[in-house]
Amino acid sequence: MRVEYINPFVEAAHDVLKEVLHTDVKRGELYLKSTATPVLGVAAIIGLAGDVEGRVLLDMDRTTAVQVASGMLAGMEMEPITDLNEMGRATITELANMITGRAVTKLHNLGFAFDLTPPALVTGDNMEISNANVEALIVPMELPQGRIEINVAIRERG
Amino acid sequence: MTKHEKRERAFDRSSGLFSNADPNEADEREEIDYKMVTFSLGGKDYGVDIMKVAEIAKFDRYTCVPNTPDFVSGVYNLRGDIISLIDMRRMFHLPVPERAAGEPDEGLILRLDGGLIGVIVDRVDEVVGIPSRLIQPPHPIFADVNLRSISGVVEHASRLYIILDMERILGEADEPRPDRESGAVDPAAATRETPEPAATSGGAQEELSRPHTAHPGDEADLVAGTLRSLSGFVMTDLNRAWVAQRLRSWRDAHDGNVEIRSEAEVQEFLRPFYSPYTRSLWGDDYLEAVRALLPPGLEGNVHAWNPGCGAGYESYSIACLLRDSYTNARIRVWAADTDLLDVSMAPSLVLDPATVPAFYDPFVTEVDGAVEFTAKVRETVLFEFSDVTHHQTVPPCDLIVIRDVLSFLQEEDQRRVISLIAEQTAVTTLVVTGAHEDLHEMSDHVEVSRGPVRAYRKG
Repeated sequence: MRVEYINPFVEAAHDVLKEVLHTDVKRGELYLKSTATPVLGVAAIIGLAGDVEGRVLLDMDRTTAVQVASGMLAGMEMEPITDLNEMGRATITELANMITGRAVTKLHNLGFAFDLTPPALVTGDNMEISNANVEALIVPMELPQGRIEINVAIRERG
Repeated sequence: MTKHEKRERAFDRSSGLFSNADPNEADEREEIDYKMVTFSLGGKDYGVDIMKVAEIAKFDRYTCVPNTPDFVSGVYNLRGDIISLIDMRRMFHLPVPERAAGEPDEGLILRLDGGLIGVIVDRVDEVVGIPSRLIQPPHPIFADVNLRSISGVVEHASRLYIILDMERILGEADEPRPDRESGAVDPAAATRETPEPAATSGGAQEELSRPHTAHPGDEADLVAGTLRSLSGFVMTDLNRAWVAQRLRSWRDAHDGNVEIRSEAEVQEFLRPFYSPYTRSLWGDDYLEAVRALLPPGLEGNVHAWNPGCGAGYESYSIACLLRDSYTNARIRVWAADTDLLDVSMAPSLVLDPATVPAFYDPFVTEVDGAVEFTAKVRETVLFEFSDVTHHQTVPPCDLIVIRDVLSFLQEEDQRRVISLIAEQTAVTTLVVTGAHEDLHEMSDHVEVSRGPVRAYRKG
């Protein structure tokens, strides 16, 4: 993945999580994955198109998802949730939207043109995601609520 | 960070040309405090503490001694010292493969408390360095060798090694050696019974001769393990010739001593391996040699691929050379590295004006006393954080520069990347490798080197 794309995603994920959860966010070591990547249980996917093609995946386990959604809802003075109901899913989807949106805005400012698809939320056990011929960049984020992985796979249009 | 500080940082990071290491690996590398010589017996992997190994040897002529247990192969003249020779396979009741006539037995000479003793094994492999905390207590299922002979089990490079306690197996232990079958054989006794040089009286006497301890190839196999664990350098057909030659000059410079232990020594050993103009812009001689090898008069899209670009010096050299050679072409250089810090600074590489050869003058601008490449050149190079071993497609390229990168990949990855290069390139594609990397040994590419440039084309 082009080095210019990395920082916008790392910064956007860090800043957005910090803002919506009002908590400390620690960035883990970035790394690359080529083969199928396991999905932790709750994954919001946003497609990218334009100068490049690819997708961004916001990935976490179910407990983390519930806690993160509750934290975000509490920030808006709404009732916390106890299981991943419709409100919870909508909240996680929105989080993915905010992170990707902010990253793409940063990239626009650098002169790269991206379009976004609406996010989709996938939940389940023992899932994997694979992209033929594209490496995925994994940006792990450690929160008090658990671990969120931002999984970015983008390539230049050949 | 100011540009100047950035530059200092870029210059400081002089070690680790192409670091493939993830943080865990780095941790493990720091803690290597146990080295073992590995060998195989009956198809399984074994190790023995390197501190117990006096040397690696090939025993081709030894003297049989009558009336000894079958695992005592005989006595051996080690430069005047007569030592007894134990066949580990017979001792552990493992099958003994037939050797072709004249082919020597491989083995080790051990330095035990009771003195020197030779052991014959199927094959001596390499020296492996591991953190001792990885050694686990033995489990009965691991070996056909009695449990008490095992000091531990360790996994390394997805192979399971059984570490043998040679002192207990062969040493002068008071207690009888616990033998798997009957305990009928006592190797300690065999050691004690080592005949004096007067063994000349034996009827089955063969001529004594010096052991073959100085095969450069064998020694190269031994340093290979150290190089791999301390620097990630992997010896294969790609670079075996260089390692053997370097070992000879290393021995000459170190009074015949070929042992390499520390990371500093490994770096020192590998220093001459790196190609000219590593972590600096290519000089005129290198530029002109590559230019002469490139196909003349290319137009349209001209693409180059530069895996292992590090901080970007090489990629910019390629970009400027291609721009200078093909003024009417659209140039694109795909550069990639796994060192995130290096490669993310590469798009904004800043240079010390004193280090920039005159050739680059049209391609650089001066900013605050430092020099950087013009926007046009920078647009040409696309830096990617990417691992060459991951399954990816290579864009159709006119030039591939992959210097001192393959040697730092695992053997199977070397093969995979080389076959990727072979599959996805045209006949005209020029492949520039490291100065001491022989691509021909690993593929059907033929060498077209010129001056300081080692290069290949499809055969």
